[in-house]
Parts: sequence; C-alpha cells; structure tokens
Amino acid sequence: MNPDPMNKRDSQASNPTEDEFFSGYSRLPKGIKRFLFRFIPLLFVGVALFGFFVPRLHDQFNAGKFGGGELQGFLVGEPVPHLLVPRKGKVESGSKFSRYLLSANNKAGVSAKVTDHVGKWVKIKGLMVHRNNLTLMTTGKAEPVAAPANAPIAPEPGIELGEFSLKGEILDGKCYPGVMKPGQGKTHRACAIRCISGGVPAVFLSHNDQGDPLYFLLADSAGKAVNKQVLEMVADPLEITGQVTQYGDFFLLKADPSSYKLS
Amino acid sequence: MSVAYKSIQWNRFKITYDILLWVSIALYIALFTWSAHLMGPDLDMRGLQIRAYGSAAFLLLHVILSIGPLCRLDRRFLPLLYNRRHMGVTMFLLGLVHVIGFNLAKIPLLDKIPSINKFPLKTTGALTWYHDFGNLDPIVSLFAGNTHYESFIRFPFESLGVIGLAILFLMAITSHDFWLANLTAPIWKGLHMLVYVAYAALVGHVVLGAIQTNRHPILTIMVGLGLVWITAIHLIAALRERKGDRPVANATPAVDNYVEIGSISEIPDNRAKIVAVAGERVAVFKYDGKVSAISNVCQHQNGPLGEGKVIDGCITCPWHGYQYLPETGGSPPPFAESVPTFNVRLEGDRIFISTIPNPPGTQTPAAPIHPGMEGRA
Amino acid sequence: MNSFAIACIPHLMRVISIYLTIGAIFSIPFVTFLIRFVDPSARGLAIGFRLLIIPGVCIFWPLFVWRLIRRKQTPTERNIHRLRAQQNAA
Ligand code: FES
Repeated sequence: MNPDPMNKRDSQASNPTEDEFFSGYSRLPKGIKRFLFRFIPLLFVGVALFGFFVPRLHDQFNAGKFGGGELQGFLVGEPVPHLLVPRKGKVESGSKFSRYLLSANNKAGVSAKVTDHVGKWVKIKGLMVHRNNLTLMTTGKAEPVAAPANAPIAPEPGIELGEFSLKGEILDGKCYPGVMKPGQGKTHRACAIRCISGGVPAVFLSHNDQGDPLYFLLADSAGKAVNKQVLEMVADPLEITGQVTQYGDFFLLKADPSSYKLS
Repeated sequence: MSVAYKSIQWNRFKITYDILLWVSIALYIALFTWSAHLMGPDLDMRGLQIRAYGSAAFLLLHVILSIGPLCRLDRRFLPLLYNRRHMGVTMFLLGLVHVIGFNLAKIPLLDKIPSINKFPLKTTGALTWYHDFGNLDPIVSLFAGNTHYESFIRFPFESLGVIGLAILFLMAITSHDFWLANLTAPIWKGLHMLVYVAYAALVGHVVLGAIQTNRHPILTIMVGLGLVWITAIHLIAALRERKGDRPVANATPAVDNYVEIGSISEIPDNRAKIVAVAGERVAVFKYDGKVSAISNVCQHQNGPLGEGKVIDGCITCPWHGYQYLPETGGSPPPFAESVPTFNVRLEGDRIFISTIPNPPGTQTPAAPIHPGMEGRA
Repeated sequence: MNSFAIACIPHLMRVISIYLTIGAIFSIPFVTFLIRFVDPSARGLAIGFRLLIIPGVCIFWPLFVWRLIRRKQTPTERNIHRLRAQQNAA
C-alpha cells in the first residue's frame, strides 16, 4: 500500500474548506492571490537589479571615439596604406610625423582612388576613429596636393629594435579603435576577419608589463601586408616572434604568419 | 463537434499575465540602457543593445525553466505555468531581436507607412553589427567566420546560439493549441522538451562567447549559479515525484484484473490519489460521495489530471483548466477531448481499480461510498 | 578562412529557402480552406488564428500534405492507457 498520498503535497488539501485551486478562467483563490502578490513584486525587484547591474559587469566600455576630419600628409603603401602627417610645433624627440592608418568606410581597405597616390602628398577627408594612440581614418579617396614648404623631406627610416616574442591578439585597425564594443576578442572575431580580409590593416595588440596596450602593425618578413594569411588566427590568443621596427610612435612587427603560435 | 480555434483565448488572467511580462522586460531593457549610459554617456548604444536583448532572453529562459519544477514543489506557482507559452514566445522574440535587431521601417508592408522611420524603438542585431558590410553575405560570415569545432576555447559560439534560437523558433511557431492537437501532445511535448537542448546550447553560447570576451568573474559566477539552480530544482522535483509514484500494481498482485490502490480516507474530497496502473498513472478521484478513476494524462498537454480538482462536477486539469467528466472521461460539450476511464470497486474502505482501461468516453459508473465505509480502516 | 564552408553555406541556405518557400506557398490555400479537411476545429473567420499558424505550416507542410492526401484528420495521441483500452475493446 502506498502510505504517501500525492495530495499530501498540497498543503491546503488537509482542510477541505480551504482547498484552493487555480484555473485561468475563474477568480484567483485568496491564498494563491496572497502568494502571487508577494512573489511577483519579488520577481520585479530581481528584474530591476539585473537590469541595473548586468551592464556594469561589462568591461568593454572603451574610449573609442569618432570624429570627422581632414588630413594632409605623405601617403605610404607598405605594409598597409597609411598617412604620415607632419607634426606641428617643436618635435624634440621621436618622429617628425604622426601616423594614421587608412581604410574604406565599410569593412574594406582603401580603394584604388587612394592607393593610386602612394608616395605622394595627399589630402584626405573622412571619419577619424581613435583609441589610445591608435588612429585610423576611413575615407573614399585621396587628392594629391603640393608638398608643404617646410615639410620634412622624406619619412625617416625606422629604428630596428631587435627580435621580440609578444603575446596578444590580432585585431582589425578599424573596429578596435571604433565604437564596436567589444572591437576585439572572440565575439568580435567574425567581424574582424571580414575587415582584415577586406583590406583593413591587421593590428597586433599586446600589453607591456604595466598593462598598457601596445599596437603593432603586422607585416611578413619581406615587409608586405599579411591580411590574407592571418584570417584563421584573428582574435585567437597568439604568440608572435619577430623583428620590431619603430617608426615614431608606431611599431611594425615583421614575422612570417606561418610562425605565429597559438598560446 | 469541437471548439473553434481562436488566435488566443484571452481571459483576464492571461491579459494581466502578459502585461506583467512585457512591463518587466521593458523595465529590464530600459534599466540596462540607462545604467550603461550612467557609466559612459557618449557610448554607442547599438553594440550594447545586442547584449541587453541577449541577456534579457537568457534570464527569461531561466524563469521559464524554473516554473515547471517550482509548480511540482509548490502548487501555488501554477498560475505562472498557465500562460508559460507566452513567456516562451516572448523569449524567442528577444533572442530574435538580439540576432537581427528591430526596425519597423525594414519590415515589408510596414515600410510603406510614411514616417515609420521615426518610430523610436530601433536596435541593431548581432548579425548586422558583426557580420554585415563586409565582403561576404552576413549569414555565410556567421557560419564560416569560425569553424574551429575541434577546439573548446575557440569553439564557434555563434553556431550554439543558432541552435538555441532555431529550437526556440520551432517551439514558438508550434505554441498554438492547433499544433498540440495536430502533432498530438506526446510529440508536441517531445518537441518542446528540446528546450533543454536549447538551454545547453545557449549556456555554451554565453560561456564560449560573451564570457570569453568579457572575463568578469561575477558574470561567470552568475551563469554558473543559473546552471546549478536549474539543475538542482529539476532534480529535487523529480525525486519528490518519484517518491509519490511507486507502482502499486507490483505491491498487490491483481486479483481478477483489479488492484487495491489504497483507502477512501486518504483521498480528500474533490481530489485524487495518483497511482501507476496499466503502465501509466491513474487519477482516482473522490467527490460527491463517489469514487471514479480516469487516466492521469490530460489530452491537452498531458498535464497531471490527478493533481487537479473536481469543480462543477468536472475533473479540472491543474495546468490550463481543461475539464473531464469523471464517469466518462469525456470533456463536456462542445469540447471533444476525452481520456480512458477505469472501473472502480470498493470493499470496506479499500479501493480497487481495474487494470484494464476503458476506451475514452465509455460510461463507467462511479463506485458509491456507503455510510460507514470511510471510517473503517 | 574556411573556403569549404564559404562554398557550402550558400547552397544550404538555398535548399532551406526553397523548402520554406514551398511551405509559404502551400500555407495560403491551407490556412484559407484546406485546413478544415484536416482539423474540423478550424472554423469561422478566425483570421488571427489562421495567420498565427502560417510560420508553423511553412515548416511542417509535408505533414499536412500527407494528411490531405491520405484524407486523415487530427490524430489522437497514443499512450499506453489508450492502446490497452483499444486492444481490450477489440
Ligand atoms: S494540460 Fe493543459 S489543460 Fe491539461
């Protein structure tokens, strides 16, 4: 015999006059109503707490900013198209130029309307996105201009810093400084792949011992762009060993993509 | 003759239920947005909205999955179960907005309305945000962007999200009673049990996606606690159910196809005792000085009729209130549902029921309780 | 980039969209009049109901095509009690 009737579970069943039962079309029994009046506000408090605190757990509020702008400078094509803009005022140490990465407005590199002018002084209008010291301008075309009178004659050669092993991830030079949050990491992987395969410069993000971000433009050992070779490794944790060259505030990391290692 | 379908059989309770549901979701999205704004007023909200809707869907899934076991542990949660399907459909819609965004001006037909563009509710979905404007079709990018299925850490979390959303889609489009009737309750329930597959896929989607990118310990702990909570209440509810479901047929061997299932006094008035007979649960009801037995399986969604109550002379299902006459197992007209019945015999206060079910709708006389029967134990 | 996946996915998407399109085309006569041969509970105007089930018909249309051809109506579920009751009655 089963001494444990199912109805024991129903606390109200022991007293038949209070045997409450809910059905959608009749009025809510008192006890159940009392229960719901206590439970549903609790749910709402939960909703409010989650709604307020969940966004606070996100660590992707970056300082990436947009802004329209116009730049004049010397257009360089290798390893990826970028613009050297003479710095204003006294340049005590370091480079005479600020460096700007370039891309199209969508997930693509700059078009022939820009690259046709490589090696010349140009004017470029577009949208500037920057984060820390990484700045990229999205643009559709470049207009040749006369070299400014007091301009530095030519871009200075880089300073060879030697071989380094760096840990970090490959990201695209556009979304990361842009407003994508996150513009890096696994959730953003497919987007970065699309950008890099479209020709947006591939940037390697590493950190120094203090935790400050360091950005490296990627090139193969011959100094050419690596966009097509790195697609499968974008956003993965990587270790790259290669030659680092400093151009002003810009670092170039030269290594054969086949030597990149998952870390 | 049966009852004609309607889009939704509205009643006051369902309306209240839906209003509370939608208000709570609006509250969540609004608070999420506002709270994020407080942290960085010049934030671009588009990427953030993807998370607002994604997290809302994921939280709601936890609520949905908790309702079933909670109802088994405490019947006062049953009103939450009553309209749970609207919660499910809502959750699917939140997931859909997470993926494809929401913009009235992009919906065919609606885009013809002038100034529909000005409608303030607009969000971008993950598909557009991460996969569009490139050199591949967004859908292709979604599936081909990451194919490291062999790796755990690099596993394409997007595919897990797609699996989750696809299951929720199947559930949402089959949520009308038409599908219950046409797929039959067991198949429909099997389909809807896939919600656990969806849950597993979505936990994977969050763990291998959001949490990998956003390594905040509290976020990880919350997802972990959610998983523990869902598992624990299901286990507890299942154990409790198992306890009350010992097969009686084994305890007392059948004598001329009748088994003894207990005494009259252990069943409260208008309520039932559930016992397993003939391979399935049977609900033995005591009401109006009579005892009747019908199959425990509601024809609507296979709810446990034995946890229901006799109201206005009808056994009323605890889940959505379908009704059956105790002596025929048939629903009162115009309804057409019916369940098998069982012959009942009383000897003293002992109840015996037949191990052979009668076809649904068969007139099966209830066993009258004679004075004095109940007291003798 | 996985070129095999990039090549396959458009074909898969095409197959899926063809299946859904057939379903969508079938759903129009189905919800307007064919439905009552399958399920007698589908009566009256009930526009809301008819629109509501269209997405499902786009997916499950082969089931209804089959029932229409076999002239079958809404089935009754099969569970152990029902089967035993049936056996016994027979
Ligand atoms: S399961 Fe829905 S009313 Fe019984």
